[in-house]
Amino acid sequence: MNNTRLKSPRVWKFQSQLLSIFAVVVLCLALSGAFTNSWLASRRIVEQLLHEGSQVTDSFARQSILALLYGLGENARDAARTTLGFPGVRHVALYDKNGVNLLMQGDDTDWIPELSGVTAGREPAHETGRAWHFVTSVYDSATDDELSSPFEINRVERQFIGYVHVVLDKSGLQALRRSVFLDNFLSTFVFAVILLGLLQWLTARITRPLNDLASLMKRAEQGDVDVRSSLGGSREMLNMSQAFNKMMSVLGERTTKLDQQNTKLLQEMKERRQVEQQLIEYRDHLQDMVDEQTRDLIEARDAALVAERAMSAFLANMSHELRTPLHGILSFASFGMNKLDRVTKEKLLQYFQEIHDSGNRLLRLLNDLLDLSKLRAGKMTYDYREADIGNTVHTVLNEFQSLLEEKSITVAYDEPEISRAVTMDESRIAQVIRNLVSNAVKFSPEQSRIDIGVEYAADRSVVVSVADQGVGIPEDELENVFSPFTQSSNTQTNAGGTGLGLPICKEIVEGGHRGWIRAEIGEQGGTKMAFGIPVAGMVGEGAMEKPWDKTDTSSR
Amino acid sequence: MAGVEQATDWQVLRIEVPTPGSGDTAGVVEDASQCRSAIGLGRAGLDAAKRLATKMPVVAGAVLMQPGQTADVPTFSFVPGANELFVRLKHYLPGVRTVTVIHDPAYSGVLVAQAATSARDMGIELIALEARNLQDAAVLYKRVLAESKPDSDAIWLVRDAAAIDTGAVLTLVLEHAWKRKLVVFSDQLAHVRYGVLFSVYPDNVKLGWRMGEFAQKCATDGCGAKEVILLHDLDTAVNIRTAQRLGIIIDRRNGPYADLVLPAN
Repeated sequence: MNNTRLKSPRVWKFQSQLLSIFAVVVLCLALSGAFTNSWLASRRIVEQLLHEGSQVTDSFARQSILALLYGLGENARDAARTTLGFPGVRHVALYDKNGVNLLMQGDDTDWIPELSGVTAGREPAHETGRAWHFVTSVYDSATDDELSSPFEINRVERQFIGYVHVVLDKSGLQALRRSVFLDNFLSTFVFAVILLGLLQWLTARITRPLNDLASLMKRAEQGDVDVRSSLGGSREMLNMSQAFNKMMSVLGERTTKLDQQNTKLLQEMKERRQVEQQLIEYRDHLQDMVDEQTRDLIEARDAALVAERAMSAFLANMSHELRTPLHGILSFASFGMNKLDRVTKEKLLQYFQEIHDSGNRLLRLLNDLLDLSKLRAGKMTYDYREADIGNTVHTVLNEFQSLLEEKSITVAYDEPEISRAVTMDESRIAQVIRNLVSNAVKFSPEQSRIDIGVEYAADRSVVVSVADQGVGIPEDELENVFSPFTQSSNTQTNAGGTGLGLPICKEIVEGGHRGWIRAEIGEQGGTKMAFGIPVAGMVGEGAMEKPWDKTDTSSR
Repeated sequence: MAGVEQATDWQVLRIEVPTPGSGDTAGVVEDASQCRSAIGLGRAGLDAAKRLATKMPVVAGAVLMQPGQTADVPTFSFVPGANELFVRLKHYLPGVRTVTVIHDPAYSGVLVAQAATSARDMGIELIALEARNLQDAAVLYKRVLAESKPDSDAIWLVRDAAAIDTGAVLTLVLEHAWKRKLVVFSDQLAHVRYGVLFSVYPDNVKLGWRMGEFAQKCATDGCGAKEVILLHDLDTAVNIRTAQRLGIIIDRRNGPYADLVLPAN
């Protein structure tokens, strides 16, 4: 925007223009009217004065008949005084038919008439700069009837008896003209002022809708596109108002569209700026990202290495676990073959018993590996049925009755008062319970106690727990016990297991029944193993919420 | 015309005569050529009568012609005989002894001379003062008005343009007469309205009867002298205010010489 604003010429309001034009016209009319009226009035006044002068002269002549008849001016003195009493009459005179002055009254006259051939008439006999001079012949007062009687044989004529001279002063005429002009001008001016007032009121009334419309346009100019006109007045104003409203409607629609487009453009610009900012940030942090990804790659590589090492360890463990029974089999088989003749039959039977035990152990190991493999591959089939898990626990405990008695271990089974049917693969769940009880018996010292609990939780699940009073599991190893071939450092020397039991349990509970399983430090210093599965059917349902997800981590 | 038709059993033919200067009277002469005698009324009728005089006996009338004026045909003038005026004067003012008249002898000398004779017969002295123009008359009137006596003197305003007008002089005379209670009478009816005591005017029916009878006599016996015959068939007009001013009692209904009383109210 250019700051130097051109100075526009002064623009008058429409009403002012109208009033100015009217004022000039009215003033011109007033002046011309005053001049015209005064001129016409002056003419009329002159005509009137001449007429009055003629009448006064005639009257004076009639009143002077006797004086002329008598030849005595004194007889006309009263008539002369009366005549001089008329406005403007300054001089009167009476002459007999021979031109002898009989009477002369009033001011001095600037002209003396030549009396020969003077006849009566309305026009003055002579006009000077100061006065009109009326001169008329005087006759007797014979009537027209007498002069034109159809019965009169003898011709009757009026007798000429003298002259009268009347002087009418013109000095008052100029003053009268000025007075008439001033009166006309003042009256016309007053009328013009009244007319101007009326015009002002009228133009204000006429231009009020225009001013209102101009104000609305001003508001529209300042950006208010919602203004609408509701003007009254003449049909033209109504048309203008409607046209303005229509124009503002179109303008409003266009403005709305422009605003929308502008908003859209601003949004796009904002997004573009954000993208640009992001690009800048990306550019600025690209190295960080590369570093982070490098770290991720290193971690992934390390994880892969860990996995590789785990696999190597697994393979080493598995090889070790497989070689141990095979070694026992081969060793005792070799003993038997080499000492077949030197040992007793009982000794040989012992050898065979050892071979048999190692074979069974090897077979069990292979079965566990096969189960674990199938479980992890998702190829394990489950036979879900409704069953009383309490009975399952009783069945499993019965299996361990002799072993428990052998180690003088007591079992405290906290059986629920009301058992509920649980949809499960009872043989697999029995396998889990058996594994847990087996571990508990295995790692429990003699004369100890194993606590077994079955509890129906509020979330429609059943929780089975097995707690022993054994050496326990260090807290940092609680989660690793569910990894294949991983045993607690406290139990490795006395293990004797395959190291696949708990991983299989984890797969059965979590993978096959959408439950949970965990190891805890027991309340009496041993290990507490617990698992939970939902009571209802498993098909189509999500994984069960784990208890430690609902409780504080400190309670795990 | 009613009087003419009453005076004769002859058929009376009415012929309109153009006013002087507005048409030829030849047609009138032709139209009247079969008539046995003719009566010309007014100045135009007098002119037509003069043209018919060679063909038939004619009579003129209803003109203001002074006695002594040359008449080509016998003429019944509107000028009343002075004796008729004096009779009425004597009726209203029995004690009158002198009557003053101002006149132009060139115009009304014969009339005044005849009037003097009539006045003398009625015991009245007629004082005739001669004036050649209104100025002379005005001066004379001024003197007469000053010298006249209310009970015995009267002023006669004779029809004479050089002696009296209906303006200034008449006003002068009547003003002074009103003040001095002088009797002023006139032979002009219009003067009654201005304030003269009385005047006379023609009885048109009687005048017509007289002219009809005279015309028939002319046709049968000849017209005789071609002279001016003064008016004797007269009615009287009286100004009641002037009469009251003079102490004269006017009987509006039954009194003689009170055919027209002015003002009417």
